[in-house]
Amino acid sequence: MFDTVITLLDGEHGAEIVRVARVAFFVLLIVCCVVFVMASRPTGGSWRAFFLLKLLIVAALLGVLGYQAGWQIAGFRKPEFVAFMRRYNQRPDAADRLVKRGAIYDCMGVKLAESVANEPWGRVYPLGAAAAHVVGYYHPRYGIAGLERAADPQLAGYGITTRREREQFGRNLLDRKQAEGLYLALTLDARLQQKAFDLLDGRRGAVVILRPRDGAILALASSPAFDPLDPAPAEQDAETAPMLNRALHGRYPPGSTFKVLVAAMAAAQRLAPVFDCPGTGFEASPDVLPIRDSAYWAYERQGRVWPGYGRIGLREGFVRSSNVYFAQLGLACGAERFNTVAAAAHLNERVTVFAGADGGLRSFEGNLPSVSQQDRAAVAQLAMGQGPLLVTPLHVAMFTGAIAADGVLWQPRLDAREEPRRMNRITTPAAAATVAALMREAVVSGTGRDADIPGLAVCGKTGTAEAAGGDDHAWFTCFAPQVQARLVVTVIIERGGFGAEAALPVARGLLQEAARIGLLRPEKTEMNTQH
Amino acid sequence: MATHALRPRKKQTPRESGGGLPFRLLALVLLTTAVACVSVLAIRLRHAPALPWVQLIPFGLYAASLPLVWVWLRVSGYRGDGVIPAAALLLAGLGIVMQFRMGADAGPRPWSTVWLAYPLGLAGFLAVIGFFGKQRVAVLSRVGWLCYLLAVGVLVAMVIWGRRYRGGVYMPGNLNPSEVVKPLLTIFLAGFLARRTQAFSETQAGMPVPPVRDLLVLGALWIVPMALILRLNDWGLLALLNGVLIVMLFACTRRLGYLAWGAIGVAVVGFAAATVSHHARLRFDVWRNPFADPTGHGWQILQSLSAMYSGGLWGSGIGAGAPHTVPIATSDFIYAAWAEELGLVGCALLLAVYAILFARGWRAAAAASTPFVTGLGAGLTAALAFQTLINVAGVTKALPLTGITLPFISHGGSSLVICLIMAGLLAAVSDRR
Repeated sequence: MFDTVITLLDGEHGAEIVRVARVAFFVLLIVCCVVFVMASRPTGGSWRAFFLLKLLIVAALLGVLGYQAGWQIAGFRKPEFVAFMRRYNQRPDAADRLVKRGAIYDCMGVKLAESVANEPWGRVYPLGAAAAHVVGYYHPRYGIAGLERAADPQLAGYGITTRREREQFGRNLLDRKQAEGLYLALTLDARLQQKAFDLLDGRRGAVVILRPRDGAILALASSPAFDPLDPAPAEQDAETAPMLNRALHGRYPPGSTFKVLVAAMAAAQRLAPVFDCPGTGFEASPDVLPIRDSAYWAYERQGRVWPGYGRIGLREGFVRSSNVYFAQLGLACGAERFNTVAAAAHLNERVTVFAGADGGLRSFEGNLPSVSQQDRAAVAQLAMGQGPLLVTPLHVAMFTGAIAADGVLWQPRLDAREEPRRMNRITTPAAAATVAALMREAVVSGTGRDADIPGLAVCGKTGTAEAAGGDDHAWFTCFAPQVQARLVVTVIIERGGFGAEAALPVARGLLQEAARIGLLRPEKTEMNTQH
Repeated sequence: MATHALRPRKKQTPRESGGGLPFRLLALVLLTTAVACVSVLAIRLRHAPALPWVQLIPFGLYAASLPLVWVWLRVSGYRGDGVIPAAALLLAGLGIVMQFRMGADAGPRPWSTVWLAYPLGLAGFLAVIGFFGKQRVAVLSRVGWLCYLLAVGVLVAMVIWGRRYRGGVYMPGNLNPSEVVKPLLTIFLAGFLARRTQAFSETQAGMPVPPVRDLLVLGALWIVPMALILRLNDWGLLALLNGVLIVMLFACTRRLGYLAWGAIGVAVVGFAAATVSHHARLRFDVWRNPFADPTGHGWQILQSLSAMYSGGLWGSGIGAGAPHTVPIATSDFIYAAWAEELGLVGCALLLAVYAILFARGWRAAAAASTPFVTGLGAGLTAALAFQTLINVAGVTKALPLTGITLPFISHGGSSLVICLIMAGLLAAVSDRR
């Protein structure tokens, strides 16, 4: 008999039996309740007996049931609850598995990530490794990272804000139908992102491109990269750390690119002193080695003696990128100004480029330690972008952008729908114009000559940052054009040697690409002056 | 007792007073449980078509018990409310189905002592109806002090020998003897208050204010078990017993003011507990915001709510859900499993069965012959009602979690045995002379 039952249940009618039994159970429970209520009762008690107690317990149970319904039926209205279930509910029909993740687009509508068909984990990344760091990944085994993580609420649908969207989403979930998350539109430009990644060419380095006058980030490339569909092999590689988003999380000494900020500091104080820059260098303090210009070492390698720049002013010092000059300029500005500028340029802060879940997407903080004027050696080191000073490529792009935008720092952002936001002013418009002219001069006749693309009025600054344990880091940060700047491009090549040799060509290639696709078209006023 | 049991029924007219347990009620209970059982077995067999016979023993015992109950109540001449035993047995049956379902995924189990709980509880249930039917339950008023001393003794023993497990205190063998404190203190209170109905009925300005002497005596007696329960950190039991006290004061005096005092007391004690006790504050904070620590303290309640969410309106069907993701789903959180597999509709029906049982219990109490029996009936019903409410509200996050079982359904021998005995006492309260 038992075997017959098993055969019956296990056979084709099994599912039907289960279904019928379920319905029958509900019906029988209702019948039980009705029969219990109607059942004859002993005389002596009336229905009014302890009526209040009955009323209270029924009201309390109904209240609990109503509260329960708030979770059981309308739980999708609670974003934190849906977030919890998405992560920790192991049921096969849990909320997230019903949601088709929203796509991620660049500023031109090119897809950077999308979900295919009904496969929630089936995420496609058209740019692949080129945008892997910033877009991130969403992987059943490796989890969630980058913008996929920071924008998870809206991509997965529980960050939906309008009432109508929310109700449609909820109905779909109630009906156990597929719901779709929101798309995410970024300020990134896939063409520049791809080009930046291509130009980095597998070398360790990073590129940040942003619009100085509204903070929109057009490219945020880091190399080497990983396959967003399979990040596992890259995670093993401790040597080059491909998982590291160098543009946001790489911390480097800024080297001579920092002279842009120091020059802005001096210009704001109306300081443009003339200093003697002898070949033997500048001794900030008797117990440390003198600060020397890079030409000193170049001459020494050739067996010659560097005669020094002699007495030079700010223009010459900046264009030649003279460490000896800037060490003295820094001391002339005063240590206090460094602390001010560190705060104004947000160097010691984590800069948020995408506000969202899990802290959003943020850079690491830089390190500009507080110094006092007594510690002359430290001030001199800071003034040439060395010492304990560390910044991320984003920080460099930000202060370059502030010079390009008349001294105003705009909040860097990746979300195209986020309003541009002025952060603060880091220097006066006049000082910014002065530094812009210096950077233009550095490209026309100084260390950044190779970046001078005819018709673009590129302003730039090279950097060759000494770092312990290897070759120098190569920097180039620039913007174009000089007036009404449209783009800031910051490039770092780790251990790349001279900035002008390793980083500058990448920036030039990117500026040419930007010009080709029309991102550097001069504005009308400028066209009039040119003609 | 034997004389009553063997006395032949005089006439076939028990229906004129509406008493007794009609067979159709029991048949309906058996049918409902059987259908639930078929549903579970069907899903179970589809996943693993091997089912050791031994696993079916609880169902067999249950099925065999219902005719026995009917025969026993016929023989003992039970003329009380038939719905009280029927509803209690239906809930116990659903509990057995749920327990089978929760254990069904674990593969073949050896003979479990837990299976003894239902037979034991049923024996207690039948014995209580047999002994205390025909309003003989009034004799319990004479052993009120004995019950009080027993309750205090049990609590003292638990304070001394109990060991902590998951925030609760258990005796060896994971017995939870604090369950027995509920009926014992209820019996004591019924006896105590029945003799002081006059005193406790005195009012001033609409609010009941008993004479200081009586109040001090009650307070002094009551503080001892309460302090011991506090020592055991059993906030659920504390809330339950004080709820019972308030309801019994109200039942014995019919002064609505006691309910107001009770509401004030709940607010004051709740606030004091949340500020003084670390354990209570933790529960309170988790209740307020489980998302503050979702993978730690908030884990259990959030898993419970996730289970409910996945159940939706109609549920996944018994056996088709995944209630094991909720920690200790078999005992305190059995309601979450029920909500997942039977949906909000199933929950509403389950709570309706409970509500009917409580309504019948209070009606029986109101109709009882003496103040003691009235108080006892009201107190026992209140104990079951508060236990249900505190458990269900805790599992759904309507109130802070207190670690209390769901009557008749939660896994746990002591709980089932005591609940069945309390149901038996209620049936005895409803029995006519």
